[in-house]
Amino acid sequence: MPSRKTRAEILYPRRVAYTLVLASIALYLFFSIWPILFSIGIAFTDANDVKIAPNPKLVESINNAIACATMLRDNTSYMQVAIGVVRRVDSLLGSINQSLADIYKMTASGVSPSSLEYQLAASDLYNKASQLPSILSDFEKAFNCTQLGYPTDKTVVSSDVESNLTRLMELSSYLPTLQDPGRILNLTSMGLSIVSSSISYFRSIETDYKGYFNSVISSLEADKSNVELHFIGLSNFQKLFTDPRFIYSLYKTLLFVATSVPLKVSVGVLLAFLYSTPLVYGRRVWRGLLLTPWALPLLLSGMMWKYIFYPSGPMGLALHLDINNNEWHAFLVYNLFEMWLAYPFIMTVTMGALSGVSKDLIEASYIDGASVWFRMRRITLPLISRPLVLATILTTGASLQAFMVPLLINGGGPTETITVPFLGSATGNANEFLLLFGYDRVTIDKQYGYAAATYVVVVLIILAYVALWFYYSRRGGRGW
Amino acid sequence: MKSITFTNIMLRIILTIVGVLVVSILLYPVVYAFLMSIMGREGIFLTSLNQLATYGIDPWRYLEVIRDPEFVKSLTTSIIVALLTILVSVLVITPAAYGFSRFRFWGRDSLLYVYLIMSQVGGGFGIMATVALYIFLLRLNAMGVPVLGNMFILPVIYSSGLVPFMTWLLKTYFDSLPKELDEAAFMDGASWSTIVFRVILPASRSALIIITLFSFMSAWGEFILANFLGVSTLAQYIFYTAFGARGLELPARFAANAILFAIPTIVIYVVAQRYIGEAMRMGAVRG
Repeated sequence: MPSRKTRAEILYPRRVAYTLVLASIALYLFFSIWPILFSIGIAFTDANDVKIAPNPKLVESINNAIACATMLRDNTSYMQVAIGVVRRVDSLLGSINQSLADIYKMTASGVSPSSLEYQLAASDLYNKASQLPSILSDFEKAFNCTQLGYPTDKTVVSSDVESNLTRLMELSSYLPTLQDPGRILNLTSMGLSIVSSSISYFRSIETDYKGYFNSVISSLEADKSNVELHFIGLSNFQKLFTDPRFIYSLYKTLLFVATSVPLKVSVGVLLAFLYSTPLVYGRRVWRGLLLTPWALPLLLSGMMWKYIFYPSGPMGLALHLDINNNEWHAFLVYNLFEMWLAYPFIMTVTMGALSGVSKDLIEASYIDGASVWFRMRRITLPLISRPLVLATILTTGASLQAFMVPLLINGGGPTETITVPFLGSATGNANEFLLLFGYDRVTIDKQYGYAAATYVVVVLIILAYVALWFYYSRRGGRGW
Repeated sequence: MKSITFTNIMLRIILTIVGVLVVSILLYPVVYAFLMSIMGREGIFLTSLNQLATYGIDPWRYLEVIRDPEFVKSLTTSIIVALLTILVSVLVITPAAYGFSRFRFWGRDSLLYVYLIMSQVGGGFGIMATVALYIFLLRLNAMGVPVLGNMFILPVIYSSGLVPFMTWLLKTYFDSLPKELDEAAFMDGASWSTIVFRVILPASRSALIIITLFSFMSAWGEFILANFLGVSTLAQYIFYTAFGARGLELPARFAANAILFAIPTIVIYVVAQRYIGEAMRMGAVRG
């Protein structure tokens, strides 16, 4: 029908439609959909607080150090200079070693520290050691990558070398002033061990120059891989299913579903029955008041439940509950809190269904002399069962996704050793329900890749649950 | 009703007593919160009513809280964030909902379907999406976009989260508005923005009120993301301090804090039940 189409197109052109909806779609895609896709990608990486956002300066610094080490290894002229410096250090250290050994021997054989002999040896050592700074600066010139034109804060020589040599200098300026032979022996033997380790370090550079830089480069490569994000395939998932904490979290969550759902559904139904009887005076007022948990923000209710059941709070004292140290006490409080949060929902649904029970039917049953039990089983229950089952399914989903309840009561604690058969044990929070588990991996461990993998699995679990109830609600359409 | 007999009266009295008892047990946390917040001594948990007699009652604590610079600062942040959330939601979602209601374009039906599913999934997905968003924002922050500690990013994110639900809500409203309204305005030569904001929106006042209320509530009560980003909204402030060591040191003070924080939510709940009921009737309820 061309005429109708034209009218619609004139009045509501597509171009305008796109301008109208574009901003909201862009907003939604960028801040809601894309982060989810991004994080699913992250689930296959080893992202942590460093790797999620590699510091470009750090990466560049490592890259420069690698280039520098490669040059020192491959450029023959640099190699000559470097080896020359190393040889000089080596020979100086050798003679310092000799002096130290002399002093040690002298002192050990009873020569007094105030004797001329000792003083000469000590000043000889001091003279030798005072050459160290110039050698050190040569050494820096030869091996300091920033000075060689590769700006970096990494070193290609062991950073211990410098501090060792500095300590050696201090030590040799001390020795001439000391009087106590025991201290002298101590210091000299310390100096000897510094010298011998330094010598062996420099010898290793001297004898296998290329090999030394090869090992430096490979350790720098390892540093680099520690700050860069890597695709690690399914490793996170593998880790997840062998993590005792996760298996325990799964167990605790399912247990929570199994305990909290019957509790809140039965309380909600009982309340609905109680406040539907015309026998209770003022039941409209009570009903309105009973919906209070709905009106309060979660932060306020969570805080109150925490305070009330805190070990020093009123119920904590009265019932001897210790939510900080006993995981089952905390678990009990979660159940009560969840019941308190959810009973208004169950109660409202049940009341709605109860109000649908026709008065005629009830009166007819009175006249027939039916017992209360019979009335319940044959008239009331069939009428409320279907909405109640739906409400139960929804509230089961809420228990499966419980997050705020443990978080607000005690953060999913207490922290203790969790042992799972066949998987061993680990230290973790005993009441980390599934969603809290992922949250804690982000906030406590800062293992973002692992947390994302957790949530991928949790979403699959929840989807399985949703699919299950879809299946049953379709099939059970005839009669619950 | 049957005739009033002795047993009947007894039953009534017993059941009424039970009913009142049950209500008082279930409302105990609320009463406790209030009593705690006015207890005369600050550093301890209220454990018995005798303490109220011993330490007296101190309603001025509320004044102290209101004068507390930290409270004032986070309250200001919360108000700014909430107002901006309302503004962004109205400005962005209204035209879109109008577009979805009146126009036929490529991708319309599948988008609406996606929105429907996303607005029905429960709170658990919300938490996971928040964590996912945080991971993404960390990356964004490293790329030079100042996200961490930036309170102006929150309204945009909160509005984004409201898109599916709000679009459906408003679209349903617009569907019920007569097309003649905007067609007449169009014939008079009005631009599309004029039609949306000057003609359609005023005509759907309760929709506007709903979008405002929901935007306010979601911005006011959210604290997980605000805490991740280190933006001190009132909810974040209470979550961060009251649920940590300071909350246990000064329980009375933070009870007062939390009650003040709860007032807007309670007022909205009481006043807006009509509108929320309307939203629920339209089948756009969150699980």
